[in-house]
Amino acid sequence: MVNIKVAGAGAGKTTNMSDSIIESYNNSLPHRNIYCIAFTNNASDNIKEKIKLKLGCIPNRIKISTIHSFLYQEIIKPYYFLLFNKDYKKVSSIELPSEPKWSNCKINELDKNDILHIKVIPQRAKWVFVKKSSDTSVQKEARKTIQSAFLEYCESIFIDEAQDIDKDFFEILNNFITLGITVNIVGDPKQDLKGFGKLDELISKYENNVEYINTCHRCPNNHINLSNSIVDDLQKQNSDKPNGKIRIVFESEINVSSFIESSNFDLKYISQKNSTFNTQNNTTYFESETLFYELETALKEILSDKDMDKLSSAAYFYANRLSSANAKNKNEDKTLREVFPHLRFSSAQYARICNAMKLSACADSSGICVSSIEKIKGQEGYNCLFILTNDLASYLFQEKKENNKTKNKLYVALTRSLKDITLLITKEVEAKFEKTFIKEYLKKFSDIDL
Amino acid sequence: MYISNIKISNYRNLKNINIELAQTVTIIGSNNSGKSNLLKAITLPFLADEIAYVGKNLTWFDINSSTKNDYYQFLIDNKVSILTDKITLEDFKKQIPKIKIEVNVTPKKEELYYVKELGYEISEGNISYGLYYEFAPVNDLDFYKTIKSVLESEDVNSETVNDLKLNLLPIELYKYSIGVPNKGPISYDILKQFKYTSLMAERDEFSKSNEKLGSKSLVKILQAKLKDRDKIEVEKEYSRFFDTLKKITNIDTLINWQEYSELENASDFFQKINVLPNMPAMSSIFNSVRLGYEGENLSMQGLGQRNLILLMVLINSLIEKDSDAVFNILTVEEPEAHLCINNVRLVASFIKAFTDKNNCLQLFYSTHDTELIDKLKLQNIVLMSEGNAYSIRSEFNDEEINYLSKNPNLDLFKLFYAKKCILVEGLTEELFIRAYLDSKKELNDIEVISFHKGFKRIIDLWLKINIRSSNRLGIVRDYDDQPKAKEEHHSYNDNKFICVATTEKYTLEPEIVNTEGNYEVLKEKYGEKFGWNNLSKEQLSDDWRKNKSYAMLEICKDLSSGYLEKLKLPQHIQKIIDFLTTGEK
Repeated sequence: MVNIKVAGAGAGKTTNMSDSIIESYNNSLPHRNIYCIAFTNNASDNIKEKIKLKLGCIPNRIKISTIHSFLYQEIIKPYYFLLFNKDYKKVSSIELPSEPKWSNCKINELDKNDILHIKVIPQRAKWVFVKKSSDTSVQKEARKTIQSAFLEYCESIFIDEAQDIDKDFFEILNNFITLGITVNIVGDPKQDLKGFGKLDELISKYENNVEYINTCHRCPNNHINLSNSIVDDLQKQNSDKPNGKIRIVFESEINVSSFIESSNFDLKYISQKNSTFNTQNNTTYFESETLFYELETALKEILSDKDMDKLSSAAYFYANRLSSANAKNKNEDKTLREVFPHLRFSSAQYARICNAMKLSACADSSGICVSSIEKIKGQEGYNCLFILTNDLASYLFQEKKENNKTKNKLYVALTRSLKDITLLITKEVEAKFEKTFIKEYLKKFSDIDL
Repeated sequence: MYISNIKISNYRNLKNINIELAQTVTIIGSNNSGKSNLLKAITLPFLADEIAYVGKNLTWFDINSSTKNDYYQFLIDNKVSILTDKITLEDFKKQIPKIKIEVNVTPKKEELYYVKELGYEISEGNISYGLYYEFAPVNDLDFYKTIKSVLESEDVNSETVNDLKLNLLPIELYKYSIGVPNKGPISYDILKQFKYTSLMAERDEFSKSNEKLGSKSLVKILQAKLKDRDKIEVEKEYSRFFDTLKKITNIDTLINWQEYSELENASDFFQKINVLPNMPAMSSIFNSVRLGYEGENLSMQGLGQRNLILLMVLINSLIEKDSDAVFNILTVEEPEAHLCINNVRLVASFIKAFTDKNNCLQLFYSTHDTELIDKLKLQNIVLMSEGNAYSIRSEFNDEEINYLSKNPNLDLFKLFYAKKCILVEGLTEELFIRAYLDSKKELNDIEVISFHKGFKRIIDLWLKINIRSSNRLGIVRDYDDQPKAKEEHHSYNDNKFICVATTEKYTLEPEIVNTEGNYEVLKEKYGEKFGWNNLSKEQLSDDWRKNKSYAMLEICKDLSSGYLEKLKLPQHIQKIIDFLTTGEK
């Protein structure tokens, strides 16, 4: 059984979902679990909060987690070994090379050490639960056993922000549905920023089970009118809130940094960084994890007779030292020679460590700091700043109309505010569309404050 | 959920055990057979509930002696090869004594979620779940190096080895680990769902000390069973108790500092000091409750009474669902300890009722008392002898177990552990032989147990259990016109400790009548009474058989009281009795 709720921004998805979770919990047998899967820690925390508010605590049988944690804890950890005779000891989120060939190489290297890279969790979970191309008949039979064990204790599955479902999880999900598990999906195809398109597929596949929730409790009426201008009829929303401000500011007319500083915005966002705006955020954790990993691997290769636990703690210590020394030196060779004057790394080890140091050093802090739209997805604020760039402007001014992830970004950008939104028209947009057209066009959405 | 199988290697006298288990496990065996070691071994892969905590790190003494001796012998025999590196680390590893305990857990469908991390194998559509405990060197290479250096510096031979035993098996290089078979160590988070509680035979001290007197279990029961409203009442009553205390002791006036102060206004300050109730947590209020019996403190009760109450409270508290643990193991050594027969029966009925309804607790107990063996559930029984264990459920099939269960006289202790025991095929034989044994003082250490058919499986099991004992088993069987069965059974006569004899005739009665002068003896004594005066041997036998119970009872009564001294035993029975008394066949 599958139920799909398509709910636009601010439709009260989380509240709605936590009510359904509690209902499912109350109607279930005492040994069966209700799984709720979200795509970010933020979203899973929100649902937890809502349930705590209603029940006082989260009952043991309601399992709320992020997609990776769910797939790892509930599928890979207990069952991967039974099919593929491998037991992962750790999950790693180190930086992977962008080239697929090198990326796979890294993943395999981790694999040999019984470490699972977070990126392949959905794929491995699919291997456990759905299929792997190299499946033998024994593995196929074993998979059925695993599925029936899972069915014994799985009452229902809830999926939040289903527009983020990727192709591997999509297959797992279809498998859940085929096996007869009740799957409840809530999502908004308009907010699919990654362009997976899997929610759209689910909507057309199960069209009789789709319910549209088009009320918006977050945004003022005129904001919704504006966002509706780029939304298909079936999903046009209505708001129960009075109009809020929509301000238009041209980059060419102001000093951007002092404007932003003086305006006290809750959220500031842009489609992607450019020469003026920087969307660098705190990913240093991942990068130093990469450095730690490379250093640990190298040390273990060189000092293979030493106590492994001690080597790990040494690697952690030296990774931090390398990182801080290199922040000063800005020269990987020098740093490495300085921190390890006596240790001889092989050329491969040397290159990997230097590379990892570069990664952790490249955090660029020039430009005005704002968020990317991906980052503020799911958040809201009273006073929002939307920096309009040409990629999104083409959709806003109806030059382009097709549904894709760029258009979705625009939708997300327009539906963040509880009250006021400021559109900062960048110079490139002004150059392309001209000030008068922009003003005229946006005036249609009433009350626009120029 | 329950442990359905346990494998033990090299733990104390349990060198190699692999047995099937039931939801309740009753362990029987003579002293020193390994019962307590089995109970201890079961708990090793599990975490202790705090009561009676026992450490998990073992010692040199916990490693099976014969395994240790084999290992020392290997070192002596291969000393040169080890020192010259002719023995690889891989080969050496196989010789290192390791203790391993592996349990298979069988969950119910409703429990699959909790055991999912324990899965290690899929076969025939089922996932096998298990846990192991291992006590082994942390690093085989280090261990090997250490041994080498001892062999280098010392002259190790069969004489000197005794002085170097600890150095040649350096236990400080050992460590224990708990994990899932094939998979390896698991986290505490998973492990903490599986707990054990054990009540050892040396519990007399435990049940004596005031604080420990089962109070923890008692508090747990109170916590679990009191409703919220009850707890409110408790708190109110506690406050009232305080008020009363305050009133009676007049405590506010007792604390009267202002009189001693010379400072002005001191009383303003001191008057504000007052006494408040020290409102304790609910559990500490419960802690002021102590077990008693008939209004007397439990520590004033006799040892047996104390043990009984403690045991019951403990079991009761384990029934209360613990939100953390999904599976509990309770091991009890000799629940009958110090109990009189009525109390043993009380415990037996309690255990039975309890195990019937509880699913998340598996009870293991050892016993020497037949009352504590549930005859209807023989599949629960594990027989132990000389460090070996045999589970009835794996030694016999269902039909055979049913047959054994139906036998009202079955006494497993006598059957498997008596010094001298005779198995017969029916009540008549039992009655007759018993009567004879009663008449001879010197024969009163022989046990008689009756069966209806087939002894082979019993003999097989008896042989396993008595492999190193000097116990003797005699079997008296009826011919029943079945030469093949006779032949099969008689083949056991090859064994020194077993003697099988079969009637020449179809059954017992004609056999008695035809033995020596018995015909005359019987006619003389019972001719009038049973109308046997004018009967031929055959007629008499037939009549006796038809009148079975009555005639046999009379004859046996007389036999046991010594009025039938002239009656001879049939040859095949005499043969068995001779064998049991002298060991000769």
